[in-house]
Amino acid sequence: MKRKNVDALFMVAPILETPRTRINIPAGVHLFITIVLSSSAFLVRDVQWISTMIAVNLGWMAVCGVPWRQLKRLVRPFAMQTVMLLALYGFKQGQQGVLPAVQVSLQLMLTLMPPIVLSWCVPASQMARTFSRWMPDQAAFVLSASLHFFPMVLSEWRILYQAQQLRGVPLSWKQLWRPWHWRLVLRCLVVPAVVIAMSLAHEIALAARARNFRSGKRSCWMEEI
Amino acid sequence: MKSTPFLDRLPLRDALFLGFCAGAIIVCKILFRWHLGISGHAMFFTLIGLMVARSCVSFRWGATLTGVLAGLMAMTLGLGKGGPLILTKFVVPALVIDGALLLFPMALWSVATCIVVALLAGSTKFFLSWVQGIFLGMDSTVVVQRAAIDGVGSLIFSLLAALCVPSLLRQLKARGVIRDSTR
Amino acid sequence: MASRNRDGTSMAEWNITSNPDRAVVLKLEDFSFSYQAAQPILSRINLTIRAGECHCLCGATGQGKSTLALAMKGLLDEGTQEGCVHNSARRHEGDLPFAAVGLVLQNPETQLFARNVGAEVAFGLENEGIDPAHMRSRVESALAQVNLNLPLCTPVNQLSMGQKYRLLVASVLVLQPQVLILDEPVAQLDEEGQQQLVRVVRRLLQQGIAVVLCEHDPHPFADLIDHYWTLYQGGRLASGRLFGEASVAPEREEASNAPTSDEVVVAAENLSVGYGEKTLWTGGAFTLRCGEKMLVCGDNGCGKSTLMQTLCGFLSPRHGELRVLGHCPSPQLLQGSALLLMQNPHKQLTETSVWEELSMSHRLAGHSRCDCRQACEQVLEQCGISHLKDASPHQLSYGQRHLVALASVLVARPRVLLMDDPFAGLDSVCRQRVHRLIDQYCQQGMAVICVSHESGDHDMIFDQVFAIYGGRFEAQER
Repeated sequence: MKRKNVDALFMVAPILETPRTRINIPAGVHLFITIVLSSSAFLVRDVQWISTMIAVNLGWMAVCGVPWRQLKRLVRPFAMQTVMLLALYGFKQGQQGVLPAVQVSLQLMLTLMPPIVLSWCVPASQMARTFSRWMPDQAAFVLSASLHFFPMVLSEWRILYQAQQLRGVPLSWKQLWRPWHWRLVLRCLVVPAVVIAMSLAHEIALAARARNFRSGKRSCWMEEI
Repeated sequence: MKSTPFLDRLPLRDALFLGFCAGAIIVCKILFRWHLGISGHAMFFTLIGLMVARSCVSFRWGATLTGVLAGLMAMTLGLGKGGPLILTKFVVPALVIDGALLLFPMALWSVATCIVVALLAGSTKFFLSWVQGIFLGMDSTVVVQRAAIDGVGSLIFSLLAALCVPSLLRQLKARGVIRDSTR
Repeated sequence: MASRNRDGTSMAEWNITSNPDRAVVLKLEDFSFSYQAAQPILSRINLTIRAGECHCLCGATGQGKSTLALAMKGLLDEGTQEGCVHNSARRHEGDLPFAAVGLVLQNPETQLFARNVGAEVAFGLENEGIDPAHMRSRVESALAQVNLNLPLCTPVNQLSMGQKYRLLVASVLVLQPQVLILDEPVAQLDEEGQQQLVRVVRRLLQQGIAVVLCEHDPHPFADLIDHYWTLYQGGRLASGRLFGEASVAPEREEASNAPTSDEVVVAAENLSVGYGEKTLWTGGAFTLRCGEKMLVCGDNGCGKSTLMQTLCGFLSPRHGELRVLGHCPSPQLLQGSALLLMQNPHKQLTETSVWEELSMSHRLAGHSRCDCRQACEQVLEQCGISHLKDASPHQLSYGQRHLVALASVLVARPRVLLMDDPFAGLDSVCRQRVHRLIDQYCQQGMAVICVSHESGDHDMIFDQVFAIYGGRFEAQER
């Protein structure tokens, strides 16, 4: 689909639902491994250990079948952090600051690699179910229902955006750079968007209560995939 | 696990609305990351989302719950530069907003007080960046400088968010979304 | 306040003494409901529903049918209630007071909570805390009741709208209700879906389950309905049904009435539309001139909304050529010339008064401010809502909001009006008014493209009718 202007906002909806499981590891275990790998980036302090951790993370990516092109997501934050840290360390320590700057940048990158693997392998709905094990029942339901219904909210917002743009509200990127248009955008897009979200939340809550939803203990359909 | 009593007081409708606000914060973060890439810009959407969520719902921890949901969504999607620490990027500003509104419930309805609340919430980026730097073993001076650079961008966008929020809330009130009881 | 009977024994006695043949399962006595004291939504409603009976609640859009349905399920928690809802439908000690009243709301999409069929039906059982070991048999039995023979792992998003609706009915039946309330079932379904639902309702009635239909156009269920009730302005409920309420086919306008010019507004040749990697339909070829009206029908998900987005320039055609007002469509070029009316158009209302809404549309379309007052007054009068000009659009009834949204689009004087299911959820009076307005503006040169999931009687007022079926875009015989 050709992405045009801010309409791209609404095209992210599918990523909330797309399952991309490559290996058969329970989501909880996957989450645990992610936290351990990310946290370990805070502990390694020398080049040898950092190299080892990079190798471990790349190995984990390969095991999970994550395409290497996903690493492109790291390039920009890594480059920005490296430039900033080189400048700061260089200002204080001169040439001696290059090594620690690169080292810290790599450590920061190590915190980012495991979440990329996690988001690739575990669909959002499965992750929501995993989180729900440690959450109160109602909060767990809210998380999974929000993720489940959010594409519908996005679709309503998309139609609203399109209708308002055709109506003449300045919503293209070029027009949005002019701050005097923001007031109109707030009035014609953001306010109705909040109204739509509130009204959908009301409808969904009513539908849940019509099926006897109440706060408190719920049981669980065992065959849910 | 048994539901905690404080969540039982939150109607499902309001809880779902908070979930949608959290989703909106994440979607804006994803979209504008492609187009802006200016440090701290995510704070603009985060604060608007958290403040609207808190104002439309009569639940005193509304912003925090939205922050938790946004953090969990961000974790599931592998967003952000903080890894698992991304949860704190949403929850800490949300706690500041909820805390400020506990003391001054009408703070978001005037531009001046809203700016104060937003700047307080925005400044959390400085502290989070500082803590992250300490954990990574950075040089102490560099830690402060880096945190300051991150914090300035965040404060600028917090200020912009604070300028939008009171007018947004007044319009939502005029349309019946925010009622006096909610305030 | 709604009375909540807590003693199952006394309730059973009440049923038996009330009617030994058919037990009363739900009874409303002098039930009133309002959000504001001066404007009652429901006023002194008396209604008795017995097992195996089929009742139909008619009434114009916005008269309170859905509110009454919610009251019967015990879901009204704001506003002021008076009188009683007696509910004998509790099956077990400890059940929720209204647990055995089943309610299916209007929009199926907001009621589907799970990703697959089994989990969807089991959602109610999960809420009741039923032991997972006992769920499967109940789920299968409920699906059989609605003739939905699908594997439990079937993804919900692969079902047709008719199947989704029956899935929702199964999701309610799994809770073993004694009363089933269906809110506006006809509007959501195509003909096939309606016939399937009629068969399900017939079977449920035979099983002794009472059915209440809240529907302004209940003709598919006419053979099954035992009692008609009509809700009037002010929330009064009376037995019987107004003839005006029946679906009235709009009269076919003579072709000579439409002052079509030769100017081509929209032209498509060998058009294919889709999104992502997916092509939804091919073979679109049509020419729409000034003053013409075109209807595109098709089942849910066939690509009607994608056509609208392509016409507005938000999506590019996959193949073929499309020209709108002489250009390749683009939102920037079409601003103010082609306007879009959403499926629930009240959602695109932004202002706090009807007058501001219209003047904002007029201004955004780039018309002169000097003409604004006159143009707004004229459109308000044509739509018959002049008396509402100072009202907040958000506090009007569904039908009134629909007309305000239409007025706010018409005041911009678009050359092309794109309408997504503009008649959904409207009663016959509102429909007639919308038909008349469209016609009036088309006579002044506006072209209309309308998409709908049902051709119904609306095709009578359109100059061209197309159907999307089996991935093909085809002209329909008139």
